[in-house]
Amino acid sequence: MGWYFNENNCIACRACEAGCKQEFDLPVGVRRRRVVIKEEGKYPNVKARYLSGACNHCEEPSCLKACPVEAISKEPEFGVVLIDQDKCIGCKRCAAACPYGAPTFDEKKQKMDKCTFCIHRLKAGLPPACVRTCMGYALWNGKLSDIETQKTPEEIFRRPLTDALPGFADPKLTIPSVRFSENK
Amino acid sequence: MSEERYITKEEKSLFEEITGKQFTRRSFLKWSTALAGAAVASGLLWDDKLGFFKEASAQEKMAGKGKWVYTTCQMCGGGTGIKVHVVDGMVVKIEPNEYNPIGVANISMDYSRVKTLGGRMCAKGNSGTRALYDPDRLKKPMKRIGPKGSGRWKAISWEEALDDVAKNLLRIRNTYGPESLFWCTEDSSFTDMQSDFNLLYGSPNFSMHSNTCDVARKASFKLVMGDDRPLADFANTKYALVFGWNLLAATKWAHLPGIWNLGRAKGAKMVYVDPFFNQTAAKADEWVPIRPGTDGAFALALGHEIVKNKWYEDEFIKNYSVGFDKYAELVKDKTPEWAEKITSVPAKTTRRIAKELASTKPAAVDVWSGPGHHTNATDGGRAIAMLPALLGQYDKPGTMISRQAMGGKRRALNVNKPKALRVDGLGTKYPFAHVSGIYTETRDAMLSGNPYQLRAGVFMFQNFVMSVPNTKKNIEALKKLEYMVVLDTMMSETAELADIVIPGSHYLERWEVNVNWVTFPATAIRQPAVKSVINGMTEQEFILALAQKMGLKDKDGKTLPAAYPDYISDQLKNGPIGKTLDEVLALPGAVFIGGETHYEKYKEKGFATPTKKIEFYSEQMAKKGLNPLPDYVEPVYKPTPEFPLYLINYKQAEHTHSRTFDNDWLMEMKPDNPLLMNSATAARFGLKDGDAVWIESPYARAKGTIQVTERIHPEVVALHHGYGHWGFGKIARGALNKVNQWCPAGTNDGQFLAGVSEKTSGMAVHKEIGVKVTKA
Repeated sequence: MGWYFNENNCIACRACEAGCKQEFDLPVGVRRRRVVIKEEGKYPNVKARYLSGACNHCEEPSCLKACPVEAISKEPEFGVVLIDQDKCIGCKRCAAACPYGAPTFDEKKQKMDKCTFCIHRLKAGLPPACVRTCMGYALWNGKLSDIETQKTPEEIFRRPLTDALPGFADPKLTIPSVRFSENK
Repeated sequence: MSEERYITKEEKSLFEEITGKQFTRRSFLKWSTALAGAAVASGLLWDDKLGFFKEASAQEKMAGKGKWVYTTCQMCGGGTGIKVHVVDGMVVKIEPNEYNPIGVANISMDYSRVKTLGGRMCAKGNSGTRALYDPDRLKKPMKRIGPKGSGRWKAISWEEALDDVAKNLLRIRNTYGPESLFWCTEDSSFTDMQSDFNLLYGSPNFSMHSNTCDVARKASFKLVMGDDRPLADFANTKYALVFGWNLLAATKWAHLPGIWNLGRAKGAKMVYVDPFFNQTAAKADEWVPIRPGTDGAFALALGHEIVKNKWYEDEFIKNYSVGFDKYAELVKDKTPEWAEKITSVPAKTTRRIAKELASTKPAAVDVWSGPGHHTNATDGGRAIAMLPALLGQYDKPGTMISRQAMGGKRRALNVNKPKALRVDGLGTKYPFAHVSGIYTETRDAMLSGNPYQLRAGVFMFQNFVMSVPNTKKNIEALKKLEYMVVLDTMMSETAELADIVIPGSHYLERWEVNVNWVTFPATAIRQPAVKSVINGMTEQEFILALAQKMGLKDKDGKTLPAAYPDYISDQLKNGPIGKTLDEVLALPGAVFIGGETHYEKYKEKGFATPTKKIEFYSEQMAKKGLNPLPDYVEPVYKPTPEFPLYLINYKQAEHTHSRTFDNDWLMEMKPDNPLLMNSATAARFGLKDGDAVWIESPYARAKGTIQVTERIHPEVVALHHGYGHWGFGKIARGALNKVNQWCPAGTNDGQFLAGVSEKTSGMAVHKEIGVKVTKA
């Protein structure tokens, strides 16, 4: 299971962020998904890049290797990377090791917290909460092989696919389960 | 300024130590703030001391339990369809309702196709539970015991509150006459019943939120083509030219991003005109930066090119319009060079866009509140609305389409028309004003007593102080009211000045009919998902009880019905839908769909103007002493040597009006509203990103912070609207903001304004003033 993020369609409305907050009743400070806004160019030739990011549920998760207490695992059915908060000691090494900074720290629980790909929803055949609410149809989830063969709703999604957007970490590092289309 | 951060050395070395891999790039983007400086410091957790917020509970624990209730959102007035998961009487999740076209598409064909992807909703809709269970919500009616604004209140019972309001409104009517009551309301909320209440009471002064929203746009389109709110078909257009409407983020309707992206994906060219590069500019093919309030001049120059080169649709103009020759005469000297001096848009850009627009069909040309909040808004809007008229681009696929709606029909009350005229000049001083009234005139009448003194005010879900231009005057005016009632879910800057404050309901607690803003008939029901969280009355129940207590009746002895659901059920049955409330509720998603999108309706019925044609020349305006042609008029409140920068406001997807600012999830995303300033301008004034400043206009001086950006015209600075609260909940007052200590709640944009309305439509002028900015 992986993400497909079409930058053409992202409008930085942060519906995905709020959808995620709502699904898990996350307290202020815990942000499992975030939209990053990057400004480029000089007036009047200016561009804005929007990137909605969360855990990429990597094939070779560096967070998993970084965890000293084996609290992080890769689940077999969907390949979701999960933190077991009962084991987590809140040392933040996973956040540092993650090229995307996906794990966040929950101050109240003193534990690390991270996107679960809404595995409870995947098991019920539902898309993750962020995908379900995405206003611009920028975010999608599915089998990576389906994304690569463009088995996504026509017209809403545009090619060509790429492994990374400018500024995104080299995919070779952790082999993230995500594909992109760059804003034209 | 970008909201990005790059990996630190420590992170890099830890990563390399753990994985044994080397970074192939020097640095890369990291989106978490877990370790670096957070925009909002983590650690501030939900405050549950008021005791009605639910325990944090992930959805996985809830699967299969409870029920789903289909209803509509009201985090803004858009009315997105939602379905609400309720477990043990608590709302645990709100999701989009794909049956409701508002979250899907505005054309029936697209709706049928795209709804299989599920409806969509915004960040505000996803944060609805935080408003429902906000611990700062009012729980009991409160009566003021200290001087106005002293903040000294005592809780009273609902019965006492009803007695107090009934007694005072009757006293005011008997002492001063019914016209001395001013009543205002949010306008997607039970306005039917409130209007009936005012008819029975006898006051003409019933006003609604629209006046502070889009009534100049309404007047512009209505005067030109007879429909006060045509809807753009972005999904099927080939060319969109949009003036001052951040439709992708100031999301009026949740389908807008989807249909815009669909149009783009199918190869349409999108051109966006605005002084500020917002999300819509970012997702357009071209951004045209323009001086605020000069859009009309740009539109006239486009018209000049189209007429000069004979690119217009001759047949359409001949058959369906009047006054083209006079318009052609008007634009004869409105050259791109003439416009460049006014707008700062290069003449060659204007020429190219005119050619593209005229040669790419279908085209959708739209305008909203950017140009619409200026003193020349209706004329500018008319010049814009005439562009699609020149090209025959109305009511066809991919153009501006007139909506067909089916709603309820209210039974008329048998009452005399109020003897007094409205206090705000609706229909007189402002001949083409919308039914929503003119707030600034009402406010000025409170201050001056002319044409008569208003004595009582009822404010329903309207934060008048923060929403009407010129905050200081608003406060002074409200202090003059002898008796003031506020109904709202929270305390506010307006409620602070009231004599009595009645707790309002959240949209998940009450009934409503939403006639959807899509091109085909679609009507949705808002129904309670839960019982009142505060164990209170809804506003609807309160007003009905009030009318009963006051003994309000029409000449036939008819009064308001005992229950609001009966009232709307009767309207639905009595109107074109012809179904009872229960019958509509039983439809999929509790949405009635009454047909498909129809095009070129004007071929049968004509346009809804006095001549039944598109009016390039408006005889009805001439009769009222207004310019019948859309000539360019300079904005009144331009920058001066003392106040050298244009100040405008803007909106983004995280907030609505001035009312979502106590929502912790939304405030976490956007905790304050720094003043956006172009880097060249900042350099000129010796300012840098993050500087604490004073912002000053002839009407106010207040704190702000600077955000340096390339995304704004160098002569313009901009504030996001709605921030700067002092009388709202603690989050709105800046409790989450651990970074900006200078002005943690942000800056209220309305205080800097003159506080006037546009002369034709009565639109409140929100975006027209000069300011100076100095380092604090």
